[in-house]
Amino acid sequence: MTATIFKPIAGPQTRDWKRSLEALEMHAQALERVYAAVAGQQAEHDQTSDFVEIGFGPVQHQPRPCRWAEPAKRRSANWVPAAADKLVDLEALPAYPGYANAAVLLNARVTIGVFIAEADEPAIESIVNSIFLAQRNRTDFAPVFVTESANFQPLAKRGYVFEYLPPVPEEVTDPEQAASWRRERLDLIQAKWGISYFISDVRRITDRLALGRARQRVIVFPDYGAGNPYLELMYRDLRKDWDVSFDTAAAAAIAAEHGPTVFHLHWEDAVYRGESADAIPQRMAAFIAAIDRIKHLGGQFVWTVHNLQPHDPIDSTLHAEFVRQLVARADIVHANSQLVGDKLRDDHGADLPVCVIDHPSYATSYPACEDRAAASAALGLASDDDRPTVLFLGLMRRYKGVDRLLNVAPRFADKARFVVAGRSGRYDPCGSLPDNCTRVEGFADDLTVARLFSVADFVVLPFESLTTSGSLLLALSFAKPLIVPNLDAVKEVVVDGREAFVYDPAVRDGLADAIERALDAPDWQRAAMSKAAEATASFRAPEAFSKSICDMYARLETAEREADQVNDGADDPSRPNETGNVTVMTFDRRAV
Amino acid sequence: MVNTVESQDIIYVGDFSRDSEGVFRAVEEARINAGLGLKTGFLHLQSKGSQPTINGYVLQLLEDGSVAAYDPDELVSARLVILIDVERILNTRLAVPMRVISDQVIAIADRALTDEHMAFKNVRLREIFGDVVIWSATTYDVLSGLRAGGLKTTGTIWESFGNIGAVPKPQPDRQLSRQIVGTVVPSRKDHWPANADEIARIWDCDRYVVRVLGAAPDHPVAQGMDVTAVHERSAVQFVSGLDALVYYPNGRPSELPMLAIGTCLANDVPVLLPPELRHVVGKGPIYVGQEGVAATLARELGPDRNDSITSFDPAEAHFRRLQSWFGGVRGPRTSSRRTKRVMMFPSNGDGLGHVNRLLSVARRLPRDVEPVFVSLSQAVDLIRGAGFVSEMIVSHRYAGLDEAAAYPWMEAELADAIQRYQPGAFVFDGGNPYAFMTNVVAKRRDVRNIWLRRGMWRPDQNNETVIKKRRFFDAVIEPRDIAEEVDQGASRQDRDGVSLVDPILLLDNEQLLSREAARRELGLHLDGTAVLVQLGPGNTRDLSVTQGQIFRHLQALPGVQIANLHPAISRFPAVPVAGVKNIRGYPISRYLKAFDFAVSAAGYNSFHELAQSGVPTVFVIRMTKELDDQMARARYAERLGWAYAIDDSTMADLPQRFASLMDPAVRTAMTFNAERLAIGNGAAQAADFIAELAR
Repeated sequence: MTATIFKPIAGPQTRDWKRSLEALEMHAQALERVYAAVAGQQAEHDQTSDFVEIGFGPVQHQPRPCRWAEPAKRRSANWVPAAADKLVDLEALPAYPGYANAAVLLNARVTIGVFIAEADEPAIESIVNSIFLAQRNRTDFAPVFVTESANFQPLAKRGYVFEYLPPVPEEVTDPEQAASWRRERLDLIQAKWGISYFISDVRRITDRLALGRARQRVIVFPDYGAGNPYLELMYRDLRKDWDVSFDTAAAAAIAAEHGPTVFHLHWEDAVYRGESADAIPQRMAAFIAAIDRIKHLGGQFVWTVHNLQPHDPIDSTLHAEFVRQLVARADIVHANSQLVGDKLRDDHGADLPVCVIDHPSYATSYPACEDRAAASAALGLASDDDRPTVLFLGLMRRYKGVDRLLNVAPRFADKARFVVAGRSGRYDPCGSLPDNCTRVEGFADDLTVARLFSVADFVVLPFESLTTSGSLLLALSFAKPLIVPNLDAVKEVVVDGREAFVYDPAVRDGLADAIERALDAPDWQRAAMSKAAEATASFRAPEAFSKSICDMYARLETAEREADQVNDGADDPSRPNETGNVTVMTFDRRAV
Repeated sequence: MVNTVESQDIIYVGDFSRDSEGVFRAVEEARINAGLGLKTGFLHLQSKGSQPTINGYVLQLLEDGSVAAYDPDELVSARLVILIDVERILNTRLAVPMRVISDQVIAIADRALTDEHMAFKNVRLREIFGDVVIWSATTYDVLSGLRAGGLKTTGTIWESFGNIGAVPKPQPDRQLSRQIVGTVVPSRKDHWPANADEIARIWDCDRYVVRVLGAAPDHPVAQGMDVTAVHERSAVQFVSGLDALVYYPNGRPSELPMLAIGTCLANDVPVLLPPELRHVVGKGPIYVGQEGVAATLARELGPDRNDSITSFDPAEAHFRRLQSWFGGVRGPRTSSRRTKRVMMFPSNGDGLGHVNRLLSVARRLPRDVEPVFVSLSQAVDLIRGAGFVSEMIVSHRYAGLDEAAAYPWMEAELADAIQRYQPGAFVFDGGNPYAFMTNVVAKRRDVRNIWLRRGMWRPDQNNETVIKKRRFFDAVIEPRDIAEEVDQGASRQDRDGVSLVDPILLLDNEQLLSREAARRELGLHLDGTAVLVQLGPGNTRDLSVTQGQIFRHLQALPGVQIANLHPAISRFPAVPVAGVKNIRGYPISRYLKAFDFAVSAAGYNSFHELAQSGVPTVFVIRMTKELDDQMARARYAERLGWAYAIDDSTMADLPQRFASLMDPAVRTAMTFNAERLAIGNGAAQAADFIAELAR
């Protein structure tokens, strides 16, 4: 039997789904509380005889026997389809995971069969409650209960899927026939729901080790996932063990109610971008409040610092305070370079939990380059132009110095052509381009990026300031010599004359001189610098980056576990302890 | 590959993937063979151009072990080999020689053989079976053709018929304002008259319920006809519900529906054919021109009709003709394999109505008929508590699944249960027969399919497609409703052929507890006013506000004891309310006499049980799309003077009604009005009818 892993619900409606599912979860939690309250009242009232049971009494019908038909002695032939063939083409059904865990529908999950032997209501409640509690920590499974009891209320009230496995009628005296029927019935149930495996002992279901490590949630903000290879690389390995998704801090707070959640912030300016100056403080305050709620519910907060200073115009005092509030709450502050890490410690204290993981290259993130002629043609550039090509690629922001580049470009009209590629927002410096400049507008997808680098001989990054530059690593990943300012973040990665032509941005013609040097460099020097760029990129392998991120998250887990032990103590019977006999029995169908 | 020589009494050889007369006839004969204790085998030859899947009715026989399957290269012997669809066999090139050993082979032709086949004569068949092949045909003209072609024949036709099984007569109060006239049309080509005027003249959809098995005419006149596909019901099942069969093809189609015609004749159902088919079919049918159909039907279906005094037993007739081949060595014997069992299949309604009615019937089945429940309702515990075996198929509604995804699985589970219990009858109680259910049950030849269908459908709902699902059932039983006078729903307009029984109640009057005994068991004071509140499970609608208002008004009354029934299938807990006794369990009807009045929903069971016990009632109704016409029922009761009807959105009258009911004189009058109804209990009638069908 092949187990089915149900894929997460995806598509443009996912967020709406998520909101409604989470609302459903909240109702379920409320209902659970009502049940608990009513149960308490019932216990009191039962003692005062306000509940009365009725029945048939003497008019109870004599139980009617019910024999099964003798198994038919079938004689088959090649032309008769086997009974099992009928089920082969049927797709397993997605098991609804219960009201309280409806949001698991958004995750990849497996279906587990939970066997309930004939039992009284408290015993069934206990089993169901174990699963209910397990779902608060795990978001990777949906239970299907297979019950021998006809008391379905504990299951129905929580919205669980269940199958009834009735006891074999007493009239069926052939044990082989009875066992055969139960096997067939369980096979059908297993196929119907795509059940991976059955468990019959749920006492230890909350133990992560026995069922595999719990999948915790990582909720990432902002959602720049599409077209951002950095984020893809960051979570590539982590996704194997964690549920990673993009959403808001408010959504993370809801998730934290239901299970371990890490909220990971990247570009903090996304919190207030597009807001009026008056509204920005409120946005920041609401964001900080959401982080507080996450942490109050046991969640954790990670911040990757991409920029030490905001690129957009904002009150610097206000921004500094916002940063101070963020770092005060961060369980880990992730820096993409040692330089940034040191600066953060200098500003916020030596005990700041900084984790430095160098920015990765993008060696494996883009498709293979086409040859220069084909790429030129595809980009609409003249393929017979022999002049070296100097490329600028990136989002048009004021601090990136594109205007300065366009000012010096005409000086090299005979020696070079310039390609300026990337989206522009409200700021667009490319109003009237020099003749030797070509604009490639709009968002550059992976193939366009590969083509641009195939065409380019040099990459220029005329930035006025820089904390972390993905553009720099991107160029190195394509083995392109750079023309770059001597900013600290740049010097940390490249060396003048090795893989870059570095200039002093304070010098008036620094940029033009660097371009001049590059264009005058002999072929052998360009080739050597290209090799050096490739080597520098290789020292920042994407694989190593992804693995280091996993290690960083492992530190979070360790911290959480230590905190649990301190806070909860070791006496909680629902929590597996080190000496406990932690077993989850695999349900053997032949034994039941 | 199996090379041991197996032996069968009869082996049918043909292409069992086809929906042909020959295959359908073989299926029917194999069923009769099984009843006679004769071992039957099917040997399949896949002919060119036929579909790759095996005929569903054949698969049923194979699955329940009634027939053994053989491949062409298997060595098997038989006392008699019967070849069906012979022209197909002649056209089939066999990869390996057929290895069936028999001294007697009969080739039965359903259609005239072509000259090419005549030229072959039975050379090819002789190559396969030796010089033992003898021919017969299902019609006289084809038989004549065989003789004329020089083939050796049996000299008589091979009559085609199926065994309908027991048809209880009389059926309980069978409603027949319009009788049911059917026709069997394997394909549009040649089987309908030439034009629409002729069709309209022969099949009068205003005067009769017209049912078609097969293909409807390609004309608007078909809108008035009830069409069933050949894979949905077999010809034998189809004709068992007819009052007459009327077949008027355009000329002489190559193959006639002889199985349907023969089965009707065998069961004394009039068959009307055009005179030009007299030389084809022979004696038995009534031959009349198109212009005489209306008058003939009126005569044959009228009150003065002469029923045949001779009875035709298909099993006996089939055995008699086999005797000449078997030399009378073995007499007919009834198979002991089948036991009499009825499968009860309650739908998953809002309340317990479907389960309750089926339990009422199950309790009254004769001792030799075993009921088993397969439930879509979650009330399994209750069914078991009532003393019956029950399995459950998870309803797609409970699992939150789309029908399209869930139905194939539900179909597989139901088929599995039927295979295991092999019921003789299947009783569905529900408002809308599920497609997965009819797919399994309706075409099973060994199961009589019965719809226990309560009335009082909502008149504002379009239930045309639901009503048409009647075609899947052998019988429809409708329990009467006290309020049937005000029934305006679709089922009321579809009573033709429906058997009416008295209202179905779980307990008979003598099984109800007296007021004193019931109060003692419920822990109520013997004196003072006691009120029952039963609003239903509330699984599909929130009852808490309504319930709260009722409790509040009742608690304002002096000295009233309040009891609240918490239904067994409610997903919600019974909320303790000070001064209110919660009742858990089943059945409440046994205790109803304990109460001076009740506040209740007006579902079928509550309504009739309260009437049975003569309990004055305030019916509090909230009409939702899942429910029957409860408001009409409640208002009818109000009109009769034993209840009040209140819409739960306007409960302003409630205190006034309660105040009125606190007056013993008013209650006495209302009880008297309820008892005047003196309703019987139709559960036993329904049980007897179902048992007969199962036998």
